[in-house]
Amino acid sequence: MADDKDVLRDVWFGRIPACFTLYPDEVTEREAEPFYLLLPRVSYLTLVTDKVKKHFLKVVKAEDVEEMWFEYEGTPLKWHYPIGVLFDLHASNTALPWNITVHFKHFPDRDLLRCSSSAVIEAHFMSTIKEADAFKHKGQVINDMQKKDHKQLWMGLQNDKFDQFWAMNRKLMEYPTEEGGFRYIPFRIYQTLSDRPFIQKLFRPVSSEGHALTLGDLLKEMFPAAICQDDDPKKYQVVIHGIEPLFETPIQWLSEHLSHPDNFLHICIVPAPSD
Amino acid sequence: MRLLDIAERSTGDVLETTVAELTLRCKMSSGEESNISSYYLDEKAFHLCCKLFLQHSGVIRDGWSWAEVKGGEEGYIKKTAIMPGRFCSLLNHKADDGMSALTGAVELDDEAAGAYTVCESQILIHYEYHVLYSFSHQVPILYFRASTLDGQPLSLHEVWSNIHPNYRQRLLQGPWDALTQQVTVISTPTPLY
Repeated sequence: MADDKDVLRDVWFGRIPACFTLYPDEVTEREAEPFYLLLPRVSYLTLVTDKVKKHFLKVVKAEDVEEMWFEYEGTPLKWHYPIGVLFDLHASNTALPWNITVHFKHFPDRDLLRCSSSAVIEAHFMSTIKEADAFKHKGQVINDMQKKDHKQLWMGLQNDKFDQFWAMNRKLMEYPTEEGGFRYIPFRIYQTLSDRPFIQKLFRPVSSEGHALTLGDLLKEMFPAAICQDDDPKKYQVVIHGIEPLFETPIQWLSEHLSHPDNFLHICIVPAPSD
Repeated sequence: MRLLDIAERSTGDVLETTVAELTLRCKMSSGEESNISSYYLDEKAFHLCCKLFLQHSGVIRDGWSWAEVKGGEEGYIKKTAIMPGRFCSLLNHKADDGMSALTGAVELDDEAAGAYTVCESQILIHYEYHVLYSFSHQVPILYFRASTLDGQPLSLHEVWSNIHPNYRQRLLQGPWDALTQQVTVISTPTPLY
């Protein structure tokens, strides 16, 4: 059990070194130095980039400043996905630091949600956590919490306080022992090349015969192409928090230990590097 | 009677049942449990309700239609409408957008009020409504998108300013409890509220 607790810590404190560069077409009064930052995997871009904004606002002409947004190799980065998901999805198998381009003009309304304040992020986070609990406990646990408990979850994430967050979040991870897991597993499967933002369906952690279902079982049902046949070359990598968990891992264990603070298990399916 | 049973016998006589009746029966079915979270609708019942809703919509001609999700069996009902409304040009409130990262919801409202007195104008607004079935919450969810006729989406402030004052005050007590931003599950990535 002690080891499993360490997993929660490792997930929470996962960081991605990033280098922010101003988009070359932005009009500046003097040259803009790049800005380096360690990004928490489990947080949101717009929540942890105040320093980036301050840094570039020093050189951008005030009248040219609109809402700040980020892009990686031509793809606008959705702030409402956790940072780790954005990295695994768009920049797996690339050299670090992660090179992110900063824009202050031409906000891509077709691709991104606007994020005018941290209240917007909080609302998004809380609505996702509620959705996750609807899967796990018909929403009963999150609904039984008080307003201050909800605040504790959010403040824990916002201020990067592991203990504060988990003191409350562990309630969302409980389930009746006799059932062997949550009602359904809150998961989302992302792919880079797809019309749909992600796959999200109902999936129980335990089979009707009563044995624990695995990551492999989930993929077989939701995205069979991710499981390669014995002789075929590997086409896809299945990535959670930057690692490729074994397909034999019980999905209930993954949900309890590798979920993001929003209580969803975010699974990225990316093309395997061809080497 | 479980709602599921009704949906499974979704032939002839059941189609005569009105949506209101279905809802009522749904509530009665969970009589043994008074917990609110046991009032749910399964997907089959949602589809049946949509069918009835569309039949009625066809009679009164208020423009709802069925849409299929590409590459799946799922579908949803949708409607578009064009209505006069208030709009303020983006340029005018851009300055206070995003400048303070920690603006509370109440402050947001003040900002909006300030901005509108300066630059409000009357225009036609294009509304698109989708009602989808949510597997996670097991209820129908209404999504909508508001834009100008040339496709520019309205900001959340502008959406709020177009809500009838009788509702606005109450809803703004907890603006994010009443409305959240989402990205649609269909192909277009445009934000929906």
